[in-house]
Amino acid sequence: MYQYDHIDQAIVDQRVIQFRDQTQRFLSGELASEAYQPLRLQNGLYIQRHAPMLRIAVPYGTLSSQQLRKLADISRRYDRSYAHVSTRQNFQFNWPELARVPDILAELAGVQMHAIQTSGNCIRNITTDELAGVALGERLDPRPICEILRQWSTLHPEFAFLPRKFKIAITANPEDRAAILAHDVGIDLKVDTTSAGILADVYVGGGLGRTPIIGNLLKADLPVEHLITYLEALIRVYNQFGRRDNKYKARIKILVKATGLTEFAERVERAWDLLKGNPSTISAEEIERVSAHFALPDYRLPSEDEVKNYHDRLDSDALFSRWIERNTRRHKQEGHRIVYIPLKSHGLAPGDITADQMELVARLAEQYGYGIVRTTHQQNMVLPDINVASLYEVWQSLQTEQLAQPVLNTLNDMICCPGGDFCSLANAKSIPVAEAIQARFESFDFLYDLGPIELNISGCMNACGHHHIGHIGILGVDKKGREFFQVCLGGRQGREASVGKILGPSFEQERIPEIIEIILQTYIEHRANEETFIETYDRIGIDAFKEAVYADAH
Amino acid sequence: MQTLTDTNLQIQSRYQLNVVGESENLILREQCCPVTQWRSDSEGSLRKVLITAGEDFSHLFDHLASLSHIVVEFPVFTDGRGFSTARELRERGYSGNLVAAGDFIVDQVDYLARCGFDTFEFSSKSLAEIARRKLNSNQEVYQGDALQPLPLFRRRRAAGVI
Ligand code: SF4
Repeated sequence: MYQYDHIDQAIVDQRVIQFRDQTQRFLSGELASEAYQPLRLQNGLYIQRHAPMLRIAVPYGTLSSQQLRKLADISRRYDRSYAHVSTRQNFQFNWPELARVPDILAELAGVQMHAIQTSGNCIRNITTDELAGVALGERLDPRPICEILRQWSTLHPEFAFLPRKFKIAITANPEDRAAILAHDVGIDLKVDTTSAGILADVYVGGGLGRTPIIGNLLKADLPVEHLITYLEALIRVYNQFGRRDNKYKARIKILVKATGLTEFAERVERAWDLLKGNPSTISAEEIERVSAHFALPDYRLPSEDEVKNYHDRLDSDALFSRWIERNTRRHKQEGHRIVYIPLKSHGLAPGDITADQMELVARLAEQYGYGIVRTTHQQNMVLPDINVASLYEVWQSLQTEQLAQPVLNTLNDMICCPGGDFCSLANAKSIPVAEAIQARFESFDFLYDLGPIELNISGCMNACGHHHIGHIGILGVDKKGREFFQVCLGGRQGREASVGKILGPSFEQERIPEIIEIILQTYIEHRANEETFIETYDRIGIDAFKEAVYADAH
Repeated sequence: MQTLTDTNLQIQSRYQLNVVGESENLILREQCCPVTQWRSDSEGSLRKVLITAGEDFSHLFDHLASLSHIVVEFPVFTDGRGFSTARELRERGYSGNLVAAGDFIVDQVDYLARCGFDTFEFSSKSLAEIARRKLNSNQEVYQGDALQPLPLFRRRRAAGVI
């Protein structure tokens, strides 16, 4: 992974000093709270329902074991011994003390981490495919371009006070795990077959929230060296013309819609004329320099004995083989597998991870996984490079901390925002709903029979839990001061991304597990052969589900 | 430690930090022509222009050399349009004074300077003093900007850091 040199380090260190000064001025009353607000937000610090929340950047979801250990350590000394993985692959601490946040940032800087631009109306942390560099079918490794864009967007002087937040996601795999169509800008990297250079398709105007919109292709086949100048032109147009009078209409998707895609593209081209070819054009040397940081590890092939041993275990140990089948994926390197660690333990909110768990994962990464850990959009973690010779030990260790639950991609591997337990914007508490659903559908046989289902829960219209693009989406709404939940069906992520349809009137919280059960039973009754939930839904439509759910009401 | 920017900045002489109502060389609004009324056939008295966020200023582009002052007014400090306005004016070759006025805050001066502002209007001496300190501290940056056109990756190479 990318290692800072002394200049990268200086940039992060400067920021800590600056934020310490701002926080001191705020605490002493010298800096008004309205002025402090955007400054702290640009450092990932929110003021939440009970305490501040600090969001720490995990650039494109890659962490070293040393960094993960540091997060565990911070969670013990400054928080309540756990942390939360967000859908944008970042880490969040829910209980830090405001006055100590500068110290936390200093600790993070010591391991080349920061909280820069993890919130606020600026270019946010850039996300990518959690399997970048190890996935089968990948066209190229997107991480060097992610890192180049991370550096470009970090403390960008022109784009720190945009109309609204600005999120970029990048993939280079036909299977899109980065949800590029649900971002302000989505970048799809490809290899130019004639020149062997890298090309980028740039999508614009996707996003969830109050007005969910799927992104549109703005520019095809952009040679990657122009990516920075092109993005600067695009964001400049947004900065000048995006709406600032209504924060719910301020995202770029609204501007693109109001302007029209063609006209918007032309404006960007005109702005780009001024910038194209300037010194920010990415040099081949820079791509080479950064790419060297992402060289593949020195993979050791397992011996014949080790391979045989592994297969014997698979044959003799049904639980182990179930875990392999459910929670691991093929690796592009022979003799290795990708190990997923679902953060969906009982008694913890989806995405939460305790300090002990973090330390265990860090140790396993060090011992067996070349020191690398990933975080995912589904709020899980990944050990991307595990030799088959080590899989059994890794599995056994993960079990000691409840991290080997074989629920990946099942109903219980849900996405859930922090909701009303933490977030001051919430209409409703989303975590208890997640827990109630998990508790109702505990049987693995039932979960496996249901097949892959994505269930996403948001506590309000801001849609941090991406409910629109879940196969089943649940949204907290406020009904005369009471917490209700609306259900939508048929959303999906990836290249076929689409927004789910609302099933009908909302329900009280207690009824949600029962409603989900009716929806699942309807699927089971109607499914033909091996159809997945979403395939059945596409065939029979929403009405069959509507009738089943609201039957009593007739 | 090696810094790559200090040879390029002579901060003290580069900036004017004015206090509203005090500094003699303060550009008063009354001296400026609002950009919406500015015409290229206007006489020399219109060498000073005021742009408020959201106003079209593209008709200035062919006449930037004839202007001595452009004042960019920030309606609220969270309205970042003025950053892009400044950047574009500098990229199009404007070399006169570029004045940040209105509701920006002192914590923004380094970004404002990097976008091309060289003159700042403050409401008090103490704020101007904080700004002076900030502008004097050399900070490492990744991007090319109005002060330094080369992004860090080109400066790294030039300085032989890699
Ligand atoms: S969706 Fe709403 S409740 Fe949930 S985290 Fe986002 S803002 Fe808070």
